Amino acid sequence: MSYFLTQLANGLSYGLILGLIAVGFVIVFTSTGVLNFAHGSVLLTGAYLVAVLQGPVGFWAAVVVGIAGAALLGVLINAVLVRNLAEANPGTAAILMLGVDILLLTELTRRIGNRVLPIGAPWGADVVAIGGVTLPTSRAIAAGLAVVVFGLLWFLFARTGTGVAMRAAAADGDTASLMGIRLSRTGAAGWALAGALAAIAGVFLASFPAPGVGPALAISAFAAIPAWVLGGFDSVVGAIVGGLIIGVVTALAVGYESHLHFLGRGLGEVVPYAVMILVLLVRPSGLFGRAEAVRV
Amino acid sequence: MPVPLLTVDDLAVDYDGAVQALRGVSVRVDAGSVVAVLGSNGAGKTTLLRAISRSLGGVGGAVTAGRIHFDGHDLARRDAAGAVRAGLVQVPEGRRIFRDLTVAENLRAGASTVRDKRAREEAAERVFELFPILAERRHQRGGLLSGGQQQMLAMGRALMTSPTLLLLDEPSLGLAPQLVEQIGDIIGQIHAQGTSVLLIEQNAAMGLRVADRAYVLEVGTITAEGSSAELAATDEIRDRYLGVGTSSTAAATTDDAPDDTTVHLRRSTTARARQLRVEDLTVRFGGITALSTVSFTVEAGTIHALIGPNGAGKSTCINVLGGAYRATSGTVHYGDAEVTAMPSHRIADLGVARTFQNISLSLEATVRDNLLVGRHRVMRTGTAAHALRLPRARREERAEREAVRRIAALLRIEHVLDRAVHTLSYGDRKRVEMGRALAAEPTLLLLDEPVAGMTHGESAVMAEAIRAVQRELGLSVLLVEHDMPFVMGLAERITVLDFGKRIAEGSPRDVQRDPEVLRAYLGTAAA
Amino acid sequence: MKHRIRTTLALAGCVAVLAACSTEDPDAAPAGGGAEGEVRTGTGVTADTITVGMLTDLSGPFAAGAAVQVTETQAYYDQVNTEGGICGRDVEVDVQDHGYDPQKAVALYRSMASNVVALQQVLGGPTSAAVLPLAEADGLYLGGHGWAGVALQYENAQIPGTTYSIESANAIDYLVDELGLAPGSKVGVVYFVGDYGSDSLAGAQHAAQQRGLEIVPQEITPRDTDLTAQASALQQAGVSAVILGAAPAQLASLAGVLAAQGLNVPLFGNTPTFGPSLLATPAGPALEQNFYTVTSIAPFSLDQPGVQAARDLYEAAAPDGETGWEVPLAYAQAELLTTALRGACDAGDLTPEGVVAAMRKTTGLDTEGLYATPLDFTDAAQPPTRTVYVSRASGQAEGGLEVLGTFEGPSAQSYPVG
Repeated sequence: MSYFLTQLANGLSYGLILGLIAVGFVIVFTSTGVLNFAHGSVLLTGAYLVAVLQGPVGFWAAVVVGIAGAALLGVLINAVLVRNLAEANPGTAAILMLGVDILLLTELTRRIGNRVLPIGAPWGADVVAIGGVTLPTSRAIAAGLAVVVFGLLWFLFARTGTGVAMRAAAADGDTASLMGIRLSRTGAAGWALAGALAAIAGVFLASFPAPGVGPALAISAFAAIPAWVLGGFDSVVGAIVGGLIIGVVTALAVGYESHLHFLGRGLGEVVPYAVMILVLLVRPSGLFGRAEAVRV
Repeated sequence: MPVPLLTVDDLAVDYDGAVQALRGVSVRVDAGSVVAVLGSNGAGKTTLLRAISRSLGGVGGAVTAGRIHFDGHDLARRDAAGAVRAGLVQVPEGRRIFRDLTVAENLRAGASTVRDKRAREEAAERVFELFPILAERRHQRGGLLSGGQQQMLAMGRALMTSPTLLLLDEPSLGLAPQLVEQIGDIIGQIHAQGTSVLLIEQNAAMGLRVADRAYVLEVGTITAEGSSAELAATDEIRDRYLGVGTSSTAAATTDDAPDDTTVHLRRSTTARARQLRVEDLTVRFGGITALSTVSFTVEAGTIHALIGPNGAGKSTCINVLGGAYRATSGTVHYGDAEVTAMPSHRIADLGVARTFQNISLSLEATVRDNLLVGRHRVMRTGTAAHALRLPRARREERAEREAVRRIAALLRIEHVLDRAVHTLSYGDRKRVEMGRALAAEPTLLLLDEPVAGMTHGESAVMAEAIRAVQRELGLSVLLVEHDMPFVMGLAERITVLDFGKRIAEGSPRDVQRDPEVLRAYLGTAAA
Repeated sequence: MKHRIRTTLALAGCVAVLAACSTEDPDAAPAGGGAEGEVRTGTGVTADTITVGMLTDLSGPFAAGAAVQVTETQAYYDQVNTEGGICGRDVEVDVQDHGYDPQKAVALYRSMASNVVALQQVLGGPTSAAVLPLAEADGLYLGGHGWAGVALQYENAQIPGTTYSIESANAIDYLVDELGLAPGSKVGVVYFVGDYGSDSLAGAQHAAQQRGLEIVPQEITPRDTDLTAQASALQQAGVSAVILGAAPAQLASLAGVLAAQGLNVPLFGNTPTFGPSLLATPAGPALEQNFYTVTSIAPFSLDQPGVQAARDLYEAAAPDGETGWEVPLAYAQAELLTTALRGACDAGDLTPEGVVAAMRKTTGLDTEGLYATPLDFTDAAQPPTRTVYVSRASGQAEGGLEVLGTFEGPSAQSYPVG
């Protein structure tokens, strides 16, 4: 039983981190209509800045710089590339983002090489144990922080003018601009927010139990894609729920792999996508995606 | 001497650098006045509003000549957000509220340019005073409001910036007469609070009632202007836009009516209209019951109307008949076939064609191609024969093109056959959609608000066209519509819905006298 | 399949023709001022230079370690050249970057094959797997391709030590014989699918069967950097030791999580599993406590003349460079090829085929501690040695590993390669 609970706790905390990443995908998509395949390398950039700077300036200052740097990188990608595409087909933008991802990733890989850069977090390799359930301290903090961040996001989107303007622009950009909302600003805000969330997720993905920052971190961001898709492309709540589902299912699939041998090895790789496909078969627009308006 | 708030001088607008939508248009709105711009569909009314609110770019339009001054500023140097900050706000056509945002959030989005919290709160108070229903429903999602409430929300949202000039694009579109009157009163109140209004209306009666001055816009130029009273008195306006003094059927004898309504449509099959029987139809969405045990029968070859206030369940009913929605219980038979459980393409195969309230056409394709797509169901030769350009296929293609031309002539869209649909106005698109439905040679035609957004003269043309196809093709028609003169003049039988229930049925004469109907729907405006 | 073979043969034919065209009649050409006079030469050898190729990863995931190897290899041949070269000729190294992309590696190989006498290195599992069959068809020496057992089927491949499978079999033997693991115990194997990890698993399974242990396999990929779930599953299964056929990121995560769960059992890693930078991560203490590695190449800190020479050379060439097992490995690989080149020269046949033939005559080669035993390359189907160094992670030792000794267990001896 405590084994199950440990796996569950791990899955939930990992799922919340995936949620942070998936929410970034959603926000960029709703604010600028772009499938942001450069998200992984933005995440890696944030984590890389933290790892490089934590020595000279200390962990917390490095985290602030890393978050700001990733946000700024997002804003730059949007300003230089996305906005100039204007009304181009969304496919073009997605391919362009793949290109950006490869460029950033190549440069970061060149800088990191095959070293593993420690993230230098104060929680190190500590573990918390509550009644037989053990969880790395970093994961417990990540889970708590993710909940706080989601609360702040809720506040932003429901209670502040900027947030409501962002939602209005996402729902109907043409009408929003008739209301005086500048789409260039809501777009920039979306990219900045997504970058910041990615950097936070990156710090925790590079913390214990992972060894530190390596190029593989950018790829692990893509584990959030099934979460994004199954939650419904344009739903923040869906992205969070999707992250939790994928996190728990992955942890349980790996944890019980020896009991599921008839399905073959390496289940953890396959299961997120299998779950995504199953959900999409039942609900083609995802768990929380906008279906066609029902009221006539 | 009144102070000009907005002056538009000699304005010209092109779309995609090709289609000229406006030329030499000059309009003036004095401070503290209400000005209406009347005109048929495609006259360029919406284009004019978008030019003023600096939002042409998003739809591919550009100002090529002329100047727009507002409150002393040259608007050419401002973007849409800049225009809002200068004090003019547009309420777009079709309301366009943010459906997933609550009422309060919609208003908050409207106030994005207002930095001062107190000013926002005061503006919200004013809006709630003007529209008490919005205060009541402030935590509901906008998408759940009725059509009239959505229009109120769209206006309230625009008022959040406390604009000096409000631009309204067709505020009465798709609303029941009672609500149209209410919206008219509200415009009066907004004006009384010191906001000037520039209003675009297809409903000329409503436009002239609330405006001090009016302009008539036709095919991109101003053809008449003057005080509302002057314009309302001219014969031309009375005939074309008001329908005053003419019974609805007699409207067909005005200039706009077809000269020769016999267009020689022929069926390429021997299909015959059959009886449509709706029995105990119930539709629920989640907790909402949209239709509750509704029954009616459309006899073969007749025109039958479905009327009722916004939200009565009319479109839901059409959507079930066309196969877009599934019935919760009850049956629908067309002839011997039960269509309740059929997918929409099977229903189409039975000879049922429909139009949509929100037009669904291929926007990039030409009108001709859209109509040819409609012919697909009746074409005999296969794709291979067409690809090989066999003689039989070539003969058929000639015949098809001729059939399309006749339909276009009937609906008076012959002159736009080679234009892309996205360059057409709303009213023309409605006609193209109707043409596409006709092209399939249906035996039953389902029309969802066929004349919404049309002037009186245009709807008279549409009525005559519907009558002609019914006569020549012997088909049945089931239509949903708010325009009472149109319905009363056209339908042979009417079913009235309210809150998802059938409250009356009978001939137009019976229905007009039914006290229940008067109470629920027609209100005083029916007189 | 048949089609592919035919294509390969046709390509080989083309290359052979090209080679023949690009060289003057070997018998008629005097070998320049060389003392040996009668040496036949082919591609990659002129009167005064011998060109060897390095197809490595300078822009992909293994760029840092690859750069260390390039530096050390260059330094080695610079030294050879100052001491008079090989066969009276200077050795030049042609370094190309495949970025860990097999397609690119194949394209680069094709452009290189007609200019080099041997390939000092083709770095990476998938890249060397792509190039090996082509090089075999061309009869070209290929070294520095890692330790996957599949390379043993190629006559032209010089495996730089023993295989991953024998490393893992030794790990099991060491657990039983030196650390006292009881029969019936369970041993986890966490491995990458593919030539590397699967080979490691096969060795561990063979040894476990011999020694009466049970293997608990956990398959992972290089993108898994959080091994919490795997660690929990291993703890649940009750393992008494774990073998890793993975990369440093996975080792750090697994070691850290297992220690955090209170499961302090020995962890054994194959050669590529360890990197000294791991000791600076939060997992450092856990690694120092539990981690062992089984390598046929000597760790950086081993006090033996061969390793000392490698260190001296590297410290002179790159005083601030990263230190690690790559340094002795690169030195040893250069030494292996140099031995083959000298052998070919002595046999009077410095053609690519001559180099392969000389490599296959190498026996009893003493590397002065770079490898634990003398090496024997005469049988292509057998690794040159089955003995490994067993080392422990240590923050004190240079390169992060402190050598415990050499070891060759009974299961490692009986493991049927190929």
